[in-house]
Amino acid sequence: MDSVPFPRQPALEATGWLIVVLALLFVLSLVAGLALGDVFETRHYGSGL
Amino acid sequence: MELSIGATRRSLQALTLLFTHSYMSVFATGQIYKGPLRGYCLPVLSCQSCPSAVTSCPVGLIQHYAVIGQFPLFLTGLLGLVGLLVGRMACGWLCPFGLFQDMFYGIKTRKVRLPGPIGLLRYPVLLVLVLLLPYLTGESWFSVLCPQGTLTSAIPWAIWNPSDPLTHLPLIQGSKLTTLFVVKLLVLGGFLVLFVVSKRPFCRGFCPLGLLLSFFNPVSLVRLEVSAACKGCNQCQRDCPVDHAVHEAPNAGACIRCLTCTRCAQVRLVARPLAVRAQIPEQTA
Repeated sequence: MDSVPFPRQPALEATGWLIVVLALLFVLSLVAGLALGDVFETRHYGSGL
Repeated sequence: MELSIGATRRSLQALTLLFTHSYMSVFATGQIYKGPLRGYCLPVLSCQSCPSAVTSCPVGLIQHYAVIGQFPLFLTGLLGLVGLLVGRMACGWLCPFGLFQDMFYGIKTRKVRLPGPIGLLRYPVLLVLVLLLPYLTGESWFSVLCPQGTLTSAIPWAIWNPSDPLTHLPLIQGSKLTTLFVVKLLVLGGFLVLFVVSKRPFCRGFCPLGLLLSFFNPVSLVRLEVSAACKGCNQCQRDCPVDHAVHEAPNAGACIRCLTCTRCAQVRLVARPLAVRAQIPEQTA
């Protein structure tokens, strides 16, 4: 059976690559946050009491 | 025995609530949890000031970093990755405050349909209360007014009022129950009324976390597809906990991906990277 190539969709492909780059940045951010001890110091009790 | 989607969701939401508020030692010692989990969060609204909280609230974290003028690396990575994978699914499947609103909406009474543009309110909430005012004033203004914070933090602390471990004085003295506390109670009261008469008003009109995750719905790996055979009967919108017309925009930011709409045979959940979606033709049946 002959295969019919689907038409390319450059805009969608570009968005796909943008998402891949974003995902890598998010992974980096997560790892950097963990590695640098991105730790939060909470206020101990409810605000505004 | 097969669990329904609704029962599974409610179970997971309840488990999230139990996990995020599981530090029971506080009631013996009066000391809140200060261990390693305190620096982290789940992608759900979960008040960090609750006496038994073990994790932080993502919105509380954003405000904290706005106050200290730093960039939240871990939180950005967490929310970004969750968003790219499943969009707003955590809103529908994990958030205990969503469960709370659904339960209140179950009370039989006259219901009111909220206007669609209510979603626009989330933008000023995020920009002003979560980012700008905390940065300028050093106070976490969203947390101050957050109805969930009042419910699970301010009221429990006010009722319990243990001795401060350091000073041995009551933690909250009479004069500290300020006008602001009364304002918090009024805000909570207003929301409770809204919860009874309308579908998830907080998620739809006020939650900054839901807004942040909603940006990922159109591009996430997991998404909804509506078959071309859909007749537009609108049953999906009637069933939807956030009153969203799924058949019109299955991957709009308003959707919390609870999958209630998949009870209809024309709606289904799929997991496809965008690059793969670019290579396949539109479904025609």
